[in-house]
Amino acid sequence: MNGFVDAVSADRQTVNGWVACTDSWEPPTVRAYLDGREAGITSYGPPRGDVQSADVVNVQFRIWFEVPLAADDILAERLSVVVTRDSGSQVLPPSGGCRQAELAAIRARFGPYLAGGEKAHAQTPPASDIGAGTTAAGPPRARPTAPGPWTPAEPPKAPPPPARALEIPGAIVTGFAVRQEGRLRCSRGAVYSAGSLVHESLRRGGFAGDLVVPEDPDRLQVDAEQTLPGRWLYGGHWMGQFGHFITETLTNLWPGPEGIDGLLFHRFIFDSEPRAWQVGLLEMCGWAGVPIRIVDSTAVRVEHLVVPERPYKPNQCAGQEAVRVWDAARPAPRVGPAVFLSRSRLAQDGRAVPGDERLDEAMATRGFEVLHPQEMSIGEQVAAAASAPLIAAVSGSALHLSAFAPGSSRVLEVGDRRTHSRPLPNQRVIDAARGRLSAFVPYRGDSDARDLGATVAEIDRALWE
Amino acid sequence: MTVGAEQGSGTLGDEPQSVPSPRPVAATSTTPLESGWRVVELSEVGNAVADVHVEPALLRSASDEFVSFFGSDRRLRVARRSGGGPWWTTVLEERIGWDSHNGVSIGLDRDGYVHLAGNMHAVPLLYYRSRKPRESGTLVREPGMVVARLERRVTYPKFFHGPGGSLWFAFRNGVSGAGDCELYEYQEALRRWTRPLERPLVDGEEKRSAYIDRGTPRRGPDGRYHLVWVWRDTPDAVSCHTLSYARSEDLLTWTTGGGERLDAPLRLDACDVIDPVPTGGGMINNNVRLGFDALGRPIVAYHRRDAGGRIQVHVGRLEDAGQWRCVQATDWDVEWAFEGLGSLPFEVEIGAPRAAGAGLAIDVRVRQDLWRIELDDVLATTGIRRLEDPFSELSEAEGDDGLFSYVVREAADGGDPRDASVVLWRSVRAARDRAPLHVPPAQRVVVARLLRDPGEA
Repeated sequence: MNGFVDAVSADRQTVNGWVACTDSWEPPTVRAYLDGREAGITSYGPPRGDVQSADVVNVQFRIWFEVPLAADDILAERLSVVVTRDSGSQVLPPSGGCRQAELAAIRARFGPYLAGGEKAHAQTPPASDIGAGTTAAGPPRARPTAPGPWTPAEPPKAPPPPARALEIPGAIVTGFAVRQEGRLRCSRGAVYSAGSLVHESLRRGGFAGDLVVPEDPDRLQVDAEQTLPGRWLYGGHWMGQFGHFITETLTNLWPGPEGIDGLLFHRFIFDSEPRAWQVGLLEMCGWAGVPIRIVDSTAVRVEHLVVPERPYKPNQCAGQEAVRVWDAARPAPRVGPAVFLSRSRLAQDGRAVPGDERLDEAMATRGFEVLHPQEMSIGEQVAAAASAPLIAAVSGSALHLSAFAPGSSRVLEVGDRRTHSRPLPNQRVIDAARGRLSAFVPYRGDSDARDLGATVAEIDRALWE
Repeated sequence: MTVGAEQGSGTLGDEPQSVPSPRPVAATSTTPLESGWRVVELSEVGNAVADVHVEPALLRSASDEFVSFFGSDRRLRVARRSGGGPWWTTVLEERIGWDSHNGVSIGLDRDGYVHLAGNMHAVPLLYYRSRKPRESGTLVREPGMVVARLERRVTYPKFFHGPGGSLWFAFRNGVSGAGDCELYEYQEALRRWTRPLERPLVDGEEKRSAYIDRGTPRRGPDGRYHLVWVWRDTPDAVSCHTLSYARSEDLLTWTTGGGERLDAPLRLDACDVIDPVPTGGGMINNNVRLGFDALGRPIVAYHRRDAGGRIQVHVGRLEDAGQWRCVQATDWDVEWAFEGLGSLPFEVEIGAPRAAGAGLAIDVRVRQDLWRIELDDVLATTGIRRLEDPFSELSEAEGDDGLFSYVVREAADGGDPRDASVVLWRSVRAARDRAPLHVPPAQRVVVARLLRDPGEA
């Protein structure tokens, strides 16, 4: 026996073990290498008694690392502990107990969340996060606090007051148009009542990187050739992008379907063709079978139009009306596994960098169920997110699925080159509206590739604290 | 005159007792030694290189003990134990050659973080700070402390505690014969060192350097910090001169013993001179010691030549009027013709004066013999007697293998004077920083815990 790596300390910064020697006062040199690079500071201590009693002269060692170790540093043998003697060098393996402890530690940490774990599907979320507690508008919930990287999400701007909805007879919905001015896109397309702009119909863009701002005039005398009979709900802009649809479009439907004959939207600067996932989300929110009309460049008159205040202000804040909509889409509560929403199989991903594809494996090692949302129905996506106590993903739209998860769930956002050191503002808005704890892992790497080791170390820091 | 034969009590004691070899470890003793110390514990720490004479460092806090030494592979080690438990030894990258200047200093800030500097002789600062309180196993090398240009030629690092228990760091910037003494203060809240004086504490003016008594700045019974040093004009040890002094309440503003403010930085023409010992006068750096008498007055012990060229111990006392009064305390046949470059073996080594009743006691080693000089309250020598104290920090006992046994006492930084720890270690004598012709095997480093009965001084 040459010795073993025995255990990793609770703070994940120290590896303990023992090494055989001929003279405990002159122990061989023990060094650690992470991914081939020397790391850590070694200290030598007294012999381990049980080993000594087996007539193996030995000393204990501790190797301290500045960055906490990940579980698969041990399990995947990325960590090499090398003992050097006059006769040469040898790698000290992790003991069976150490391996078991690493696995057990993972299970202890993620036990309720692991796919197939004993507690999976057996734990009921806190009552405050199920049912009436989150479906009724009310005072903001007290936010939980936690030390370390998990912090209560704060929106860039203070949450808005309760929203209201206007009932406008004979409303004119102007056609959509957009023009470029410098970096901005100035859009037109709003609701007018007797020639006056209904400000509640405007999309409040232009904040924190959002470059689309409205320029509808306050007064506009315009008529429309077509009139929509009945009572319609104005749903704002029909956003073609996944995250924007969840946050900006869906949330405008908070008044609910009662007494509504149809849903009216403006198109937006992107593709405005209704897609199955969008229709599916509307159905999940109770709008199945309700006609959808998307206004393009031609104005229409509406016999009665309900214009709600938009509870979701892009990159700024969200009101509880938005949360009520998301909750309405949520299936019956249950607790599923922690999920990692992967981008690795996207046909096109302009923000991906080499190294991202290995995140799937790393997260799977940590007990996450790795999902590829684009391969799932929208119902499956929402169900997975809503039941996951812990949702992790690289910054982006997929993580906005966390809007459907209760406040007791946590969100771990892994930065990319775009977000780099700060979470996406819209993710902060969602998490703050949910009143949840979230953590952000800064982008580690350069413009060419993600430093997976550093990224995983940061993830572990978040997961283990 | 034979040493001690005609002065004082004349008690020569029993046969000379050498410092016990740290290996094997001696049993603890319930019988007090002549010096009053009782050995209550001996613990082995590790093996140290023995072909270079460089002192280990020892630091004790309420809960921990730290020892640093250079191992048999010449690499720097820091050992720590907590609550008398086993030692854990961390191996740092620093390696020592044969330069005896390259000692190490360890400090603890008020948050418990460990600071270490050392293995330097006019080279860039080598400084480590722990990443966790008390955990010397988390020491990480820092690129510097405050001002890079001041940290390129560093020697004599020393951590000590200042007002409010803050951690300070003193070092020499420069070289022998042309160096300044710098003083830094650590700010725990910022985890950063500062240079509060914004200038050197002692300025050698490129013509000389100040050699601070290694026990100072030392907080006295009056709550003030006392600083004692000698000047040295060249790398030759014979060029030491002018025993000097200053004191301060805050380590920032300094005065003479009489309270006259001294302009900063302290200079040869802006300090309080204890004794204007001339160049070649028999005084040597690192061999002046500060202590206090029963009335709390600063006492400085040093040596200089008498008219016959013999080395005599002198004592200076800061009188109530603010003037220094210096007397010759011995009149013995001790010759030591030191001169030249490099770390010299000290034939005479002075201990810190301390109060003994109304008078003083000063221990002095002359070659391998320890002597205690006793003075009364008017600084008249009342006795010189042989002393048997194997745990004296002055001890230097030669063994059969040609190596010498030494003792390092923990840094005097407060605490109970009746409870001490010492490091016992063995090596060659200082040899002007040159490699020895014969390489001895590594020697065990041992820490001894000593207690003195309440009645003992």
